[in-house]
Amino acid sequence: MASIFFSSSRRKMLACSRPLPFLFTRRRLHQPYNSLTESDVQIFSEILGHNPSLLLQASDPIVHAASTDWTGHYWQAPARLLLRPQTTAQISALLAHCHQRRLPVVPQGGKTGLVGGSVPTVAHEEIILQLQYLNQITALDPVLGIVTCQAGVVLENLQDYCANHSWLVPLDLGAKGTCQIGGNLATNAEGPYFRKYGCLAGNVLGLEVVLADGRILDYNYRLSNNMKDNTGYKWHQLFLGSEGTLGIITGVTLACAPLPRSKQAAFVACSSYDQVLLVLQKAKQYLGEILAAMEFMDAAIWKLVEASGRHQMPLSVETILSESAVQEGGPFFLLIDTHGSNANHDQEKWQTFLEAVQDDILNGVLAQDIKQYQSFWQIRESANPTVAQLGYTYKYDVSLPIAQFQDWIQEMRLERLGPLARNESSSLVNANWGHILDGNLHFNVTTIGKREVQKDVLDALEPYLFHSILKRGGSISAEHGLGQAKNHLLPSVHDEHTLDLMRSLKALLDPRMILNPGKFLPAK
Amino acid sequence: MKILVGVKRVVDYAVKVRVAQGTVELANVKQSMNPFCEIAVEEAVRLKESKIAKEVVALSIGPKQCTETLRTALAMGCDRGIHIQTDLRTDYMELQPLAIAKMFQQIIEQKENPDLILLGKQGIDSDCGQVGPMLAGLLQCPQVTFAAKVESHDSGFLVERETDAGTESIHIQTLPAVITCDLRLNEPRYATLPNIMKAKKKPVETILAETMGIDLTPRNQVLQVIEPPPRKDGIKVADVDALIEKLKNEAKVLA
Repeated sequence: MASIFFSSSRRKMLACSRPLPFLFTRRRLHQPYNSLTESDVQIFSEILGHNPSLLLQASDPIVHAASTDWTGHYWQAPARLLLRPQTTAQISALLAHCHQRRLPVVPQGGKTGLVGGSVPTVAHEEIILQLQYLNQITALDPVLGIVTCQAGVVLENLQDYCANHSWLVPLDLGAKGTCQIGGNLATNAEGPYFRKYGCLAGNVLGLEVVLADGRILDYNYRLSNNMKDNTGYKWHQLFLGSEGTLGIITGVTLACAPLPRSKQAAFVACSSYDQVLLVLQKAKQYLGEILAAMEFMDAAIWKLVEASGRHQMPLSVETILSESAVQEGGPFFLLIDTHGSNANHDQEKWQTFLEAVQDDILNGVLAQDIKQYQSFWQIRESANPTVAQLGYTYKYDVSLPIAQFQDWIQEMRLERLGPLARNESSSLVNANWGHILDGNLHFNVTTIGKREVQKDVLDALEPYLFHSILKRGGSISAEHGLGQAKNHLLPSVHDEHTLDLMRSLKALLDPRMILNPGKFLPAK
Repeated sequence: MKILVGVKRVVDYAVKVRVAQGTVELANVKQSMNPFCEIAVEEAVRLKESKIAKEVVALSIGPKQCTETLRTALAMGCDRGIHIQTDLRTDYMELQPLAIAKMFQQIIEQKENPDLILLGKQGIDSDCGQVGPMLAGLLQCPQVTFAAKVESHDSGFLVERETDAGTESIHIQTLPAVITCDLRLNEPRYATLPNIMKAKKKPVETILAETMGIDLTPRNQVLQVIEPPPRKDGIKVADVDALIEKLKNEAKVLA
């Protein structure tokens, strides 16, 4: 029982050290689970048609890889079993058996999540159930732009398929080449286009879900062309963002947006955060309905991306600093992206906007062709991988009032990171970026050259960071979700009534608690 | 020294080209400066920045939207633009390299008299690579194509030229000369906002193509435009033996 009372800090420290002795892992939550037996493996094998590539055991390096997440923070030991069903019916049969035998399961998509939600936990012996073979795009209505596909479709593949028919999937992420649409839905992923194309959940017209006991539920998934339907509770929305704890999403019907004919992007550099706010307001005012995204990158992350040498950078921190005075933490960079239906109209809007912000920026560049437009986004999307390569990164994803971003960053730097004793050999950098239009900031602290969590850094950051965000009325997890990284914080965020409601829903849909134990909800 | 740079407006490099009504579809398709012309502009601007050239003039031929392409060239550092306006398609379907070269020749001989003419090695729409050599022939002047490096040398230029076997160094001893630019020559700069603003004030002169007195009829007739046939599906083999058998007997790539 000891594990559930550990704070995230201790859990992380354990997660990064060597696997725990077997005796320790026997202590489970109050819902007892059974251990996997040969007979279970035989039954799974039969369900999967005795196909040896669909059922892998711990000794296989693939299982090893599947048991550790993208950040590398949550590794303990390879899962005992990895299942790779090819159909919803197989998933239904597998879960029915797991439910009957009380075997815990962790559903896994692209495994690009940043809160350890897609890998086994310390305390349980989950079976990994991968969705990747449910990868068919079954239908696209070319007139309405409604696409129906299975949960294992890689996001970029879905984007390309829909784009070929002039439709835009209303979701884009840096992880698009690996993440799957099922995982995106289960985590309610957002990314930079939230403001223009809305919440992903709002674009879901149909959903197919398999419950913990194997029942298959269909919300307008097979009747795929209804844009509007008010025939009951919108129960399907419960599963969106539930991180695989209420059911496994196996299929979705999604409403797409018309593929924009004209896409323009510019990077601008500002000397102060006040200027950033001015540019943001003017962008909303002058670019109006074509404004699709605005991404913030501070000087620290810009310099790290510059130093990685992988991109031709349109602007240079050093050059800017040699020419102008900037606020501490600056210069600040903004990637401004517009989507429109007419290039001439868009260019007119851009001209008015650029004239309006001439005095608010130090410099900027406007993409002249598609390749430059794509490079700008590559620069922005390389923020996360760049810091990940430099060392252990303490990652935080918060919502804050937009006007307070830099103020909060300074607070963290001065009050918590500054006092940390650091010398030349153990440098620490705080790099920040985010979807500034949505008030979403990604606050990252990296210990350069060190691949393990350091207690003093962790203690400097947690739990202070979470409390200071809550004090400012923000969210401790804007879009990355809870997983096993932040679930323990929920009692600070929600009152008991809310937590009880969430627990009741969990008990209703997964009474044996076999789906993704130890995640999303805090242990009681 | 004055440099004349050719800039061509083409379907953007990243666009998936489609065939419609028996020809390449241009309607509602994003068009941008030809990537090799970007490299030519960059080289011209660098020569100006290193004080070898005093003035850089950009020349573009095409519809009225070519002024946007010229504005990009001006934002990258060119001083003036000349737009020869025509609604003839410049992707080989109507206007072809010889006519283009003749128009360049007229501007060069009767108007600008540049010391150096920098062009992209080819347009990514027509893939001809002919305007450079044809122009040099019409002007009776030296030419170096596929330049990977350009250095001022004596009163001329030392150019490294790409070939299939490696690079050759060519010394251009007399000017004017024509150099066509290849990928390795440089990495074009981004257009910064202050420069984009300044570019709006730089002069762009428009000349109507039909007033130049040049025969623009195409010399070659385009018979058919089709998309490449779709790739055949691959097959999965059961094991390595089957793979070797197929490589030997079907693909015939193993002895």
